[in-house]
Amino acid sequence: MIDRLSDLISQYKHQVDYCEIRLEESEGTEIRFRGRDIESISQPLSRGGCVRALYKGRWGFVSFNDLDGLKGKIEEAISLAKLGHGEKVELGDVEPIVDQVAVSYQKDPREVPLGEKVALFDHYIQQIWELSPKVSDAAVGYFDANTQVTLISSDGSCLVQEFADIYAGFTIIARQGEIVQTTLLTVADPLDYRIVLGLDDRISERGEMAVRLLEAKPVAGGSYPVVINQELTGSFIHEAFGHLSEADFVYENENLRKMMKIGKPVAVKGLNVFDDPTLVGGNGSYQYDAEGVPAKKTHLIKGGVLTGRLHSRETAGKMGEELTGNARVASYRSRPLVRMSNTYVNSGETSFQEMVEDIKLGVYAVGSIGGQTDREMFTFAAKWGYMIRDGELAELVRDVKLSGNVFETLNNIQAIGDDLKMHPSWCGKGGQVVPTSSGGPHLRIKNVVIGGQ
Amino acid sequence: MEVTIAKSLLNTSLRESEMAEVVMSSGCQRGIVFENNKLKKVGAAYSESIGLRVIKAGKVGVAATNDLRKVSQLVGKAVDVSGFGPLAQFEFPGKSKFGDVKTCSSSLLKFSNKDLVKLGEEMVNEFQEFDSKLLCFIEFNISQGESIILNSSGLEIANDSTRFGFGVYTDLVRAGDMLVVEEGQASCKADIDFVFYLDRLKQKINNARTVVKIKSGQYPVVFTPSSLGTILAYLYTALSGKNVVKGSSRLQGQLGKEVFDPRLTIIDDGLIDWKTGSTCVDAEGVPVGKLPLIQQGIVSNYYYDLQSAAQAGVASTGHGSRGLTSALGHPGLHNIQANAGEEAYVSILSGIEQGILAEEFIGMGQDNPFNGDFSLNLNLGYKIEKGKIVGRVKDTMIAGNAFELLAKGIRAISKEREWVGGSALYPYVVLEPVSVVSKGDTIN
Repeated sequence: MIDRLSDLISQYKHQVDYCEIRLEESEGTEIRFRGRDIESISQPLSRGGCVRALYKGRWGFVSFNDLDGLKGKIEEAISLAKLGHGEKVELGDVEPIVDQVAVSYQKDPREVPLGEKVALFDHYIQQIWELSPKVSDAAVGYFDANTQVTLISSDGSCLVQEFADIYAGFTIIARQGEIVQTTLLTVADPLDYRIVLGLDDRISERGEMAVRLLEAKPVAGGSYPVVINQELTGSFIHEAFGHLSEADFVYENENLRKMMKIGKPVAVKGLNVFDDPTLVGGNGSYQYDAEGVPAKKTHLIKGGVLTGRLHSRETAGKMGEELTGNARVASYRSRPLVRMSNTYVNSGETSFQEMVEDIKLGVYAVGSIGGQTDREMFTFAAKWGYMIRDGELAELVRDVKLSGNVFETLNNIQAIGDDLKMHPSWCGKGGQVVPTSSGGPHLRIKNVVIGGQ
Repeated sequence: MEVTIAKSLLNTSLRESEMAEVVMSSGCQRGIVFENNKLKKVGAAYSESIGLRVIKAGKVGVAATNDLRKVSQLVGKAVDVSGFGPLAQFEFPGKSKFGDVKTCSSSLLKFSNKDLVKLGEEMVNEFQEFDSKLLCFIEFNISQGESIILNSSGLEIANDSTRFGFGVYTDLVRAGDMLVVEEGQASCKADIDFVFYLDRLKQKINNARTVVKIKSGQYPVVFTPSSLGTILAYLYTALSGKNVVKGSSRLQGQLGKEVFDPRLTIIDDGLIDWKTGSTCVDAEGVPVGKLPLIQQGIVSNYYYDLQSAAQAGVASTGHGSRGLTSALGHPGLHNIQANAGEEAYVSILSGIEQGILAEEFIGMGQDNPFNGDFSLNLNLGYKIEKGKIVGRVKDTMIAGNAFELLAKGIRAISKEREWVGGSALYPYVVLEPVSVVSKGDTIN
């Protein structure tokens, strides 16, 4: 098969500046519960492929399920790329790579019988309902997948990579009259099925929090000194800063290039931010990116100064910067985009206690429901929060939603904690969702706008 | 698409199960993307998939693939998982009379990639004349899809549709300030008035050029047809039959009660020609029609899929939506319409002494979906002073409760309405009081 694909590519490579074929085959298991009942179990089988061709700055892209007639698909992608004429694009140089990458599972989910998985999640569902009579609804999902991706490019790369996903998510809903509160628990480890085992205590803790939130008051809107926990630090650095460090955002825009100029101070002096796809077992880890570029760790902010950004071959070529291996895809349906992998703020030296002890009135925001940015503006929702009064954690508050301007906020960081932790996350961009992880230590930030009534 | 594959799968599956349903679909999409004023990407996507649901020993099993070589494995897989599957409280619907609605335009398919490129280039040029510093992003998509649903109750219904999607956005970048402004529309045929959306985008840019401050406090907020959907989404969550039977709906037990302002009427209608939510049949084979959800403030209907309807002891309203790997459907809306009011938009605006016009938010979907409490970052919003837009407000969040505001806080509804995303028709609505928290107004 691989030889045939290489032959095909070499027949056409002289007609274009670059072309590649990507084929994908996957199998997995999905289990979903809603309320007390199972909603679905399935073991989907998927197969598809795509051809991408570059000619004078234009990409032609064709995706398909039917692998017959690949020749026709290549010709179609080439003809799409040749619609009109643009300027030639130099892709970042890469050594052709011929390699096979297998997943080394610590516990392979395919070895676990379906009935055992269903029984486990049935047990969790029962446990959720037993927590409190105020639990009114629950949604639980489990997902595993094993995907084989073959990439053959006109540069001579020939890669067969295996990818894995293992994930479980729990939404617990509590209700009292018209007040409805939800809490979430998400776990993921692509290499180890055991991540979904023994979650009883964590589920209890989250369920009890949903019930406690029924009694909590919404946080009063205003601008506060805020301490954010590790998960929220991750969400903040990913959403607010990370997306700006994706080079496809700046590479053709002079104004944005100035704003994100390497060497520019963008944050307080003690801040260090990394993107590292090579972390073992990270939810956003991989060995080669979707263009066959080897993954590597990138220092994005070093001591408060902008020192790096994330690249695809096209953006690195255009900007004359080093390749970082951050072109990723959600599936064969999608073209590679510049994406983050495992992104985090490195630990500092302040303990949590030191962080809160001189805050007279502030908010401790815990966990992340999600975040969104529009360029410099960001907003993210905490799972819950506590008021900080006279240096101590006080009452529980709900509906804690923070927003602000990224550069102001990066310069408003007053303390960096000593307790880095990573969390699995999923990131959407251009209609593609890819697994990532993000994290950091506790951070203390001044003047954060918290919405509320 | 080869219907014989679907028929033979249905027949085979009935040898091992009591009831079965096969859904088969195929489609192709093509599109072009302009980035930073230049044609950058031209794409085509071909897809095919087949899904099987069986009911065996009273339980639902499901299997699906997009690899048509593996169709023969589906029966075994679906039967295997049915042992663990949900209890089927429904039966697959039989033959019925389906409504008539136009969703397939052959003239749309005649639009070539070259035509789209030309259209895009014209837009880029027009934008350059408006402001040569702006970099324009444009996307066009044309797609065509066909699907067929067959089941053991004798149903066999085919459904075809075409779709035209268009979006345009630009980055406004100045020192310390970045903003994306966007416009777009979708339709089943080539009837999108591009000039209208370009003019609207220019107007947004002009309105956003001046940045003004607003004091935190309670204000009337004007929601545009495109921002109103974020607030109404809380109602749709509460009216979903699945949330009602699961006990998570805030509107549970409210059927027939006047819960909202009597000026509020919301109807879902799947049979409007050329709208992207239109279809004669839902994903489970049930006929689609018109369903009033709120009539003059009274909660008149919840919307259901097959299973949630059966659990509620009613018939499916034709709102079943289902991914092929899911054993059960969930309720989904078609084309949603809120009734118009009586006042002209300009006169509504001129009557506002001090307030906000909300165009675009970020932070949607991060609030508790059931409670109705929203807290949204105003990505693009303007301050209104003495009836006039005076500039953009930044670093500002608005908050309130959707249910309470739609019950007691509707100040005005415009007589003008606009289609949003090809499947929602909304007026301009002023809600009051909405909490506004703005930076530069520090309380500590």
